[in-house]
Amino acid sequence: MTLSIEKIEKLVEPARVHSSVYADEEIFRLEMERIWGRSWIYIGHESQVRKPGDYYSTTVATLPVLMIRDTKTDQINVLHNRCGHRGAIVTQKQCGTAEILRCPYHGWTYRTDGSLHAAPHPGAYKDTGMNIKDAQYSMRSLGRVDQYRGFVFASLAEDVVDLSDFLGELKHTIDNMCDRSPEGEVEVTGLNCHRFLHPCNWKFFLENLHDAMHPMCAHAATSDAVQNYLSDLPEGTKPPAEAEIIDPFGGSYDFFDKMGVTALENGHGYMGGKKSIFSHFEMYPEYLDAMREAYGEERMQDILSFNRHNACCYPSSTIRDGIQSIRVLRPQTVNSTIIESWTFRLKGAPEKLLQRTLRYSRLINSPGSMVGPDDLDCYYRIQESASNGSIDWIDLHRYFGQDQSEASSLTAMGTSDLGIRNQYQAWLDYMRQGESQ
Amino acid sequence: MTKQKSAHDLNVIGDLINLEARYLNKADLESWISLFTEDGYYWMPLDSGQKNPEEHDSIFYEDRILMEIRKRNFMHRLSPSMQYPIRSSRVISDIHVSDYDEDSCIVESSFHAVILYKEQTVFAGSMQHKLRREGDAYKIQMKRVDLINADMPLPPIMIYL
Repeated sequence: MTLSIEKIEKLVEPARVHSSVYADEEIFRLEMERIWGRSWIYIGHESQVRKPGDYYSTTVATLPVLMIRDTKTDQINVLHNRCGHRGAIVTQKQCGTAEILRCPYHGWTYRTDGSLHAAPHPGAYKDTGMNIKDAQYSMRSLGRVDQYRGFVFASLAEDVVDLSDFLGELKHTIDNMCDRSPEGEVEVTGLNCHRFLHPCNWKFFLENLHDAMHPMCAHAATSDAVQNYLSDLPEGTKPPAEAEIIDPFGGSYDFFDKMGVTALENGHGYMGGKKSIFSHFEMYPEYLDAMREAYGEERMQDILSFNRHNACCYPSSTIRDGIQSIRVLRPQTVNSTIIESWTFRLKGAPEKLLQRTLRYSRLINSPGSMVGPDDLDCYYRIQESASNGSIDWIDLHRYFGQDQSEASSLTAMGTSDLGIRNQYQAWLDYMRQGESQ
Repeated sequence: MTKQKSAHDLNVIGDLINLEARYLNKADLESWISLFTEDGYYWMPLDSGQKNPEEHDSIFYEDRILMEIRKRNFMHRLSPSMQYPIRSSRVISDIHVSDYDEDSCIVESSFHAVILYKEQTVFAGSMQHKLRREGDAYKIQMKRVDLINADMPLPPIMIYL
């Protein structure tokens, strides 16, 4: 039975949420339908499908989809990855190239725009009342597909606002990641990414990105290990490159408060702005030279002083422009989520930049990282309590009632729960929309 | 016993590969690190076809510095994820020399590693050790681990495999 809107509204209060939003299977089902089914979901980057026919499979709201470059138009399509005939998943490959997609069960074939190419033995449908050319028998496109500077998004629903309006202020984050390349473009470093299994609800991961109260506690072990190592080095030794990445995780409450948090429309938001955990990163002279040549001194300074951390594109992804990585949420069930981590190369930038991007990814995002498992274990602990009913309400009161209003955003001290409260505002807005139209 | 035609004694090499696994089984990271050369590193690629750790992301790519940091982080009292027992058992087979010159050789093998971390998980794949002769013994200049499921969703990997 579908939960009534009145009941759903009772689960989210201005500064606390009911624990069932993390553990209830019916709520998860409704989230997939109303949030993930009615917003723009990050699919991938166009450099994953460079040539016509290149494809990449993923999911939207747990449904298998295929991002594929059209062999005729060269545009990028996002199709439901299932045969229009009997519904079998057409390809189980993560990525590949195909001029024609063929269902392995009865051999129905599809063009790269999803239209039916051929169905074997078509005479058998004669006078049966079935028209195999009807769009319902194609590999249907998702409701909307669009991209912003190479980042491809799609929506299951047709009646959504344009991608540009959905992203709103977050476009500056994507712009900044691209503009950090002297050529204004990025590309994926490989066709594979980290896929880190998170045995918890998808929202814990997203909330943690705007939770600046946790690093100094949850990551204290790693910071301490680095400090301990550094203190063992002979005096005057240059700290290793890893230190600049891990050090900020031991930052003080004051450090994170000053960084600030900004809440945007549609549940989006970001930490930092002008100052973030990346702002102290070493600037390599050869990179500055390349940037200066491409943009001029003033514009270069503009680009490099822009520093957002964990810009969250609700509900599906989180972008770090300063380190060129995107993490993508692929919810599987109410308590299982796959977190993809993609890294990007700044075209035309010195190799050192890519090495820092990769170093960051290994240290923070990889399943082999020392940092990621500590975050995950904290989500897991709340997931357990939410599932076993030992807690009813989960608190979001930090700096409640002290937000500063800007033009189209709210800002607060960095350790505020503002970012999370804002995500729940969007959650309510989506969930209130009721039954599918 | 079998001897390679090369000047590299497979018994000595096999003992080292097994000793390395034994140190990891005991989670004795200090002794484990001492098996590496000063410029030695541990690498677990994300992609089985990956040629080097610089072209693409890796699950692990750690030099002696990071090994030292990880040793200090392992079972740290402040780490939430390390409050659970972490136990492991490795079985290595098919140890053979695939390439060599006078002072170094490449040793390939396959492994199964059972890790207890919250639940019991099996990791499996192939290993490649680049060994360098230092005095009378060998040291590990590079250990590459290719998981058979490197490109699949993975749980946290809490200790070197």
